Amino acid sequence: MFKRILVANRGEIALRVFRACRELGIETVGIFSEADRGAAYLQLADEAYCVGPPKAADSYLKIDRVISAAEIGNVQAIHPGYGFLAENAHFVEVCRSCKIEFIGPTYEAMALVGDKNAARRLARQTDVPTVPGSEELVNNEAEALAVAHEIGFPVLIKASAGGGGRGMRVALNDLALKSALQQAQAEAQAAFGDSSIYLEKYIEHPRHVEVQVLADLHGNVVHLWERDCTLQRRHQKLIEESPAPQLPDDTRRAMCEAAVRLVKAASYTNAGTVEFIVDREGHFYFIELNARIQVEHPVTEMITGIDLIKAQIRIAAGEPLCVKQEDIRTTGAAIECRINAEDTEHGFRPSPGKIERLIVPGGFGVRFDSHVHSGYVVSAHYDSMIGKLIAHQPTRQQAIDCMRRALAELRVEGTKTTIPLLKEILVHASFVEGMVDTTFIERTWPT
Amino acid sequence: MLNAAPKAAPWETPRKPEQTKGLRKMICITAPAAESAEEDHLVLIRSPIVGTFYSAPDPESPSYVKVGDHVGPETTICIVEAMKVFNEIPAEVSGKITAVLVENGEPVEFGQPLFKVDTRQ
Repeated sequence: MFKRILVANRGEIALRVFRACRELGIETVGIFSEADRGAAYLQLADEAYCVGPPKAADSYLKIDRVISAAEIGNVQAIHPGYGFLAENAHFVEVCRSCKIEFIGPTYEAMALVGDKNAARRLARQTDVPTVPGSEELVNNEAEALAVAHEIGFPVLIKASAGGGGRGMRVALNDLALKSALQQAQAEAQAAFGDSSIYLEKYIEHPRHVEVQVLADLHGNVVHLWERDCTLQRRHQKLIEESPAPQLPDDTRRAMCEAAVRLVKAASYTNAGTVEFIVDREGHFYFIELNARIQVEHPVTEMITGIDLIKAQIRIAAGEPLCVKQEDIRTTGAAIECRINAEDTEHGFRPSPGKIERLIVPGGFGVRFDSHVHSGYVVSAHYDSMIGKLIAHQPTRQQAIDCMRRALAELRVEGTKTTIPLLKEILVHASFVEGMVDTTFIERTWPT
Repeated sequence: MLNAAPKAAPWETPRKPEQTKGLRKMICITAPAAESAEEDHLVLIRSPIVGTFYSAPDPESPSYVKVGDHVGPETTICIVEAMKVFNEIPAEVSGKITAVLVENGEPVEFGQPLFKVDTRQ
């Protein structure tokens, strides 16, 4: 087992990893930018090093500085968290060449699933349903039109090097497709350095359901069931829950088994999430495999009782999975609300500033994962999420009641937050009935 | 560096810098050393990277600079080694070294003060 790990991240996920390491008796090294100097969560690390000025590109994303910190901190492994360098295959390579373990998949697996089109191809080869679309990359307008006529409008143009909801455009007809194609390629080139695009049928009113997987270095792969992350605004998740409401059991089972098949075929190891889209008829289609631990991992932890961060560390240290698929049971229902420092009345613009007062809810079934505290200054340099509030109860309705109660207790004074909006969602009939789709938030609360 | 002294010091023995293609010139960061106006002339030279500080080109050689030495912007004042690359750090200011703030072989973080310079002299 590792003696010391560097956490190449900040905020709540850094704190999450520090916590897991503390419990495992592993020493930790943190890194921070000048904007995070003095942050209280860094106190939980055994050592911490400044890696640059506030801008992420000049600090958290600076591979050489992160590796240098790992070297002077004398660590055996690096946990990348999510975002930043977590899905940077080059970073994985650098770790490997510096003889530092990367707590995540191998370079090869990450590169494979990072190529969205290649991942789709692998899905087709392993009997995992994919959204009808172009079998390969679309190279020109003629090809695009041919595919669109075959699968039917509306179509979605997607960047092969994209992901996380970025680099996508919808086209409703031939004319729209022609202009959208050029724009999509230009945007993809600018954002990902790769203008390759492919086409998919645009599924209207979809639900987003993803499956958590764990794979060790000995060929064992398990799934930890699904999470429903349909409640999104501009592809950013607001609320996640497990089990997915209104999902037939056989669909759930088929999706989870498909996820395991795909992960095995990709020789993917460590933690990962297989994303699916579910249409109104209940058909599920593979979208992408996220090669990282996700923000919403606590939802799965609550219903399975399995600490996913510890599992990641153990897998990376070479331990075999300590559970078999048949051992993984779920209890109850869990809901997570992301608490963002954003002004929902002004286009959700970030609302940085000092948190004058923070009151954290507690009680049976309540979990709050956050790095902030009274007096904490929310920086303008990073994403606006300041915490995750999770409620776990025996049934979904009880989890909803618990979350409503916990949101009422939670006080964040000094910055604007999304708490008022979350409260409204939690009492909305569509949410309570589990009858939402990914456009629900934007339709119901238009800005 | 937060949380100060580490329990073990794996870098206790300064390693001999490999004389490879690894020497690189770095851009440094300077900042005022003190708050008050009378001490505006005292600046800190801070590390531009994360790594291990070496005061000399190799263990057999004398230090690049010592207290009392005059430096110019191009003067190499130390090496900070990162990922086996030995980066020569230039002073970026003119003046007299009044203090050396780190020890040979010590790990340094981004922005860590390395030297104090009196720019009047």
